[in-house]
Amino acid sequence: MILKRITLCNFRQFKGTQGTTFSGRSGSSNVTVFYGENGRGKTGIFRAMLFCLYGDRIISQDGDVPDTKIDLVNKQAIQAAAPNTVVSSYVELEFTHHERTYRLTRGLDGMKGGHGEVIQEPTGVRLEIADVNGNTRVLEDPVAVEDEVHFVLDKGIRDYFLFDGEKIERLTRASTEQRREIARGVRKLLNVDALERAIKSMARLKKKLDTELTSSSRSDLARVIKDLGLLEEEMVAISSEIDTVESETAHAEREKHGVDQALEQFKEIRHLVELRQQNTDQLKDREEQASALLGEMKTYSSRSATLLISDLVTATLEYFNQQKRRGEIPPEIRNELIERILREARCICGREILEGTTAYECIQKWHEKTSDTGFKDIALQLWHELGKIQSNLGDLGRNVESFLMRHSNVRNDIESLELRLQQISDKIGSSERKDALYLEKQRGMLEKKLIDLRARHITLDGTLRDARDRRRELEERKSSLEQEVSRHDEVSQRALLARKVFDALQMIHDEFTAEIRELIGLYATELFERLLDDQGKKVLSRVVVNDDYSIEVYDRWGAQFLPNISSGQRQLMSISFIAALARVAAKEQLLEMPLFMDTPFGRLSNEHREHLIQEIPSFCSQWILLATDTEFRTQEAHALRKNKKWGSFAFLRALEDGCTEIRDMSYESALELLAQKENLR
Amino acid sequence: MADVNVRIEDKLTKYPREVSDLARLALQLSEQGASELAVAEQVEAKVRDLVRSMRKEK
Repeated sequence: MILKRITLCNFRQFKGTQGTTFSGRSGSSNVTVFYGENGRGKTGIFRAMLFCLYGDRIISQDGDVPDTKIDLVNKQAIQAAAPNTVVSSYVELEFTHHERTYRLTRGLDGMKGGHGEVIQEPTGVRLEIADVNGNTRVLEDPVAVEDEVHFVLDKGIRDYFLFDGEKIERLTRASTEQRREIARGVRKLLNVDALERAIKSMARLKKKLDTELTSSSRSDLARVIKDLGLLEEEMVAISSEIDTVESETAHAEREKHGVDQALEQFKEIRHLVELRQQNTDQLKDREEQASALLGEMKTYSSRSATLLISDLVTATLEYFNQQKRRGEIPPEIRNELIERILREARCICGREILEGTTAYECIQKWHEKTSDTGFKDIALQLWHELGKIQSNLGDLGRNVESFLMRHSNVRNDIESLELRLQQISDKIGSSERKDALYLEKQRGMLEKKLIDLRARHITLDGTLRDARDRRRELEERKSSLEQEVSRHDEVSQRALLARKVFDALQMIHDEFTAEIRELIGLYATELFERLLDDQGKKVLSRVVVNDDYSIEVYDRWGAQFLPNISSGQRQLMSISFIAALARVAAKEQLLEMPLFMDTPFGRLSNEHREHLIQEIPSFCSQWILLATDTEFRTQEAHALRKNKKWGSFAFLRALEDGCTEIRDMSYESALELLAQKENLR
Repeated sequence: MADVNVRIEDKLTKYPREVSDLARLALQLSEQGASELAVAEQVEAKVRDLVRSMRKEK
C-alpha cells in the first residue's frame, strides 16, 4: 500500500475542502511531515486515515470515550450553518496497492441538536478501484469495501503501521494482552493464520476418518483410536482452559494497569495517606486505652465516693480521738468491773473504797458515765471503721488521681490525633482520594490473582505437554496398527494419509514459527543496535522473540534487561521489532506499507532521533510523521535532506476562527518556518 | 506477503509427493478464506481419489 493523497472536507479542525499529497515509494524522498503545534489537527489527520479506511470514529488514545462524544464533523462549520442545516463531511484517500489504484471516500453528516450537541450520521462509503489497464470498478456496499480494504491492509496488522508514540511503547510491554496482540499481528502478517486454519481443517478430517475407522477396524486399533479421541477432547478442554486463564490474566493485568494509573494520581499524596492511616491506627489505640481506663475506674467508683467525705471522716475521727483521750470512749473499763468495785467496796489493787469517800463518789460518777453502753459500743465501732476508712483514703486517692491523670493524658492524645487527622484530610483534599488505600488493597488482590493465574497457566501447559506426549505415543501405536490393516482396508489408508498431512502441516508450522521468531529477533537486534546511542550499545546486546511472542531484550552479560529499559529505548526496540517483522514479511525486500507515526520522537533523545531519521526511511516505503514544533526542528529537516529522504512538508496552520489550514511547503520555506519557531523558543 | 509462503513451500518439498500435494491444497484453500469444513471436505475428496489410485496401482 502506497498512500498518494488525502482530502478532507469539514473533518475535525479542517473546515472546507483541503488536502495534501504524500511523498514517495521506493527508498528515496519517502518522508512526509505533518507539522503543527498541539491542537492543530495532527491527530485529526491520523483519525481521518482510520475513519476513511475502517470507519473508526475513535482511536486508541480516546480511551473509553464513547464514539458519539468524539466530534468528527468540523464544529465551526456546524456553528456557522443555519438551524437544521446538515453539514457534509468526508475524507478521501487515494492509494495504490499491487499495481491497482484506489480512491476511497467515506462521509459523515453533522448538525446541531436541540440542546447544542452535535449529531453525526455516517453517509456511506465508496471505493473506486482501477487496474493497470484503466478498468475501473466501484464498490459502495460497506461489507464489500471492508473486505477490499482488509485485503490491502488488514485491520489485524494495521496497528503495526499506523500508530502513535504511546502505542509503539506499549508494543513491547510483556502483558498477556500485549503478547496476544503481538502474536495475532505476527500470525496475520506472516500468513501463519492460514497455516493454522489448514491444520485445523486437517484435524477435522482426521477425526472424521478416525470415527469411520473405529467402526470398521480391528479391536486393538479401535481401542487406540477411541483413546486418541478421548485424549484429543481432553486436550481441547485444556486448551480452552488455557484460553480462559489467559483471558482472565489479560483482564486482571488490564485492571491492575488501571489501578496503577489511578494510584499514580495518588503518588503525591501517598505519604499523607500513609500518615493518615498511622494516625488513625494510633487514634484507635488511644480510644481503646481510654475505654479500658474507664472500665478500670468503674471498679473504684463505689469506693471513690468516700473521697468526697474525707474531710468529714477526718473531723469525726478527731472528735472520737479527743473523746477517747478524755476517756469518754471507749468504756475501756467495763461497767461490770465498776459495779463489782462498788459492790465489794474494794479496788482491783486491794485498797478499800468505802461509801461516802471521795474515791467512792468518783467511781459512782464513772459508773453513771459508762452506764449508756449501747451508745459507747457504737461510738467505738464507728471509731474503728473511721480509722480504717481514713487509712484507705490515702491509697484510694492516689489511685484515683493516677487514673484521672492517665485518662486525661489519653484524652489529650486523642484530641491532638483528631486535630492532626483533620489537618491531613484537609491537605489530602477531595474525598475521592480516600480511595488510595482501597486501590492499594485492590492492587494487592490483583497481584495475588495474577500469581495464581500464572501458576495455573504453568500447570496447564505442563498437562498439555504431557497429553501431547501421550498422543504421540498413541499415534505411533495407531500408525503401526494401521499399517497392519491398511493393506486390506481403504478407510485405514485414507486415515493414515490424512494423518500424515496433518503431521506434516503441524511440523511445518512449528519449524516455520520458530524460524520466523529467530529471524525477527535477529533483524530486530540488528536495527536496534543501529538505533541505540553509544551508551545503550555498551549495555544492550540482543532482542529475542520468545515462544509465546513476548519480546525480551538481553544485556551484554546475557541477563534479561526489559524491566530496566528506558522509555526511549523501549520505543526504539518496538520500532526495531516492527521493522524486523516487515522485513521477514517481505522476505528481505522493502515492504510496501506506509509507516504512519503520530508523535514519533516524544520520548527520544537527540542521538536516538538522528539514528531513527537515518534508518527508518530505508526499511519502509513511506514514512509519515505527525510532529510538533518541539519534535521536528531544522536539525531533523537537515538530516532528512542530507539522507535524500526529505519528501513533503505540510504545515498545519492555525486560522483565526480556530480551524486549521493545511499548507504545503517547499524544503526552503519549511526550513525558514522551523528556524522562526526555534528563534521564538 | 506471499513471499512468506516460499518458506513453507521449501518445507513441503521434504515430504512425499501425495502428502505435500494434499498439504498444499489445504493451505491454498485456507488462504483463499475457505471455511474449515470446506477445506476438510475438499481435501477428503482428494484423499479418496489418491488412495483409490494407489490401490489400483497395486
